[in-house]
Amino acid sequence: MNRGNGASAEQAGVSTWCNFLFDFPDHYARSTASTNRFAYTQGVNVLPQQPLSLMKQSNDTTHPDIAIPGPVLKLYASYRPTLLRRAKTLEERLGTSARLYFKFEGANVSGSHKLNTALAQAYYYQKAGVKHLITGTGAGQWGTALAYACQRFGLACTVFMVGISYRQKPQRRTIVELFGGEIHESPSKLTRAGREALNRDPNRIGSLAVATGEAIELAREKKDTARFAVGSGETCVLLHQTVIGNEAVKQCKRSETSQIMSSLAWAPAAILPASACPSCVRGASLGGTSSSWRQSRWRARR
Amino acid sequence: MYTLGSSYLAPPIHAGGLRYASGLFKARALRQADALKAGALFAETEGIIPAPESAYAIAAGLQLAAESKAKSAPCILMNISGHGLFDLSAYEQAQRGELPDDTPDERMIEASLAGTIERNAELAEAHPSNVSA
Repeated sequence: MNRGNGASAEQAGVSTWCNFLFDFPDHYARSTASTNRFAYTQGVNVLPQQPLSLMKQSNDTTHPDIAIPGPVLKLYASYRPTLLRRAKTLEERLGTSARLYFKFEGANVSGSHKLNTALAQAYYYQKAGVKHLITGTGAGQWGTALAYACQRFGLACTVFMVGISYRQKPQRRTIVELFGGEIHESPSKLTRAGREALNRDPNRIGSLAVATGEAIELAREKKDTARFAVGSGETCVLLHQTVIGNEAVKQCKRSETSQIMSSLAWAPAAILPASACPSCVRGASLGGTSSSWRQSRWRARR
Repeated sequence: MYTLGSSYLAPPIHAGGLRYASGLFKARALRQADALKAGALFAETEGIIPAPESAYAIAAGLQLAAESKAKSAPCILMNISGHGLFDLSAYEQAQRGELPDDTPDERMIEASLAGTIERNAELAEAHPSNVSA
């Protein structure tokens, strides 16, 4: 018996992430061509913050799919597969001839899709020997997700949250603390970056740039145990979020939607994850089934 | 990814996570008020209060549905990235018509970018061997 139009856990279970860099090697080449323009490391002591495993995932154009590590899969299973359902009432209200489906990533403890990558990141950092993760968060979804993920993998967690959101959404602070994390309103007085920002931002609105700067500064100070977790905008994050797209493809195949004509590409926070799976987007736009498109791409690359 | 410089302060919108985009996908610009209106409609019809970020995606989905009305009926999959139960103040402001203006401050963008360009030039001068053509 299906739940809604979705599929049961076994049927929709996904064990790999879809590496979109494999599908867009040209885009990758273009976007990395100028990154060393000001990457002056000479004379500057640069401390690597990310484990090599995540760096590789952000730069891998050779593997079409990446296996999801067992401990991460196990934690995914506590809230995945997520609901995929047709929005019939919405369709009727709009009087549209379009078929509207949605996938809902909010039914986990962090309340958002950010947990998909937070769990993966915490796993890789812990595996690399890191004891404490420090990060910046905007509206707080990332911070709450990382706090939970850190607790699962036995890591300490410190979060700098953009001031305006910190005050708008105090419950987020409570959740971070509930999971044993430490959370600060940014700009804070704890760091030089924060103190400087306070001077030019007397209303303490804050920004993700400053919150991130504060997190990096603290991570550098605590370099023996702590590292900076970049958050939800890194390339490897897109990889982790393809669990949504992969799962959706499986679920769609089982339901009447054998073809997805349109996936919405928005900023990463909201919609990119669902469309992040190239098999989902490109396969459909080329009119073929997603997997056959990817297979032909794969053969072409060999 | 591009930057507007670290001194730029984005308008204090409720979708705090929606402040960057990369070049692989086509982006659409939407007003916060329209997004939250779509979010409220989704909540009313489907029983899930979407996060403000997700509300932007829903609003875009509704736009796509409306635009393609004349053509063959498309099938659209929207990703509801999170719930909006911690964002009720956004919906409250929207219902009351009290959302602050979400128009970016052009002058602040200019000033912030100028600062970034200036800083880059300083760095390029200090470390000439690391500047590629």
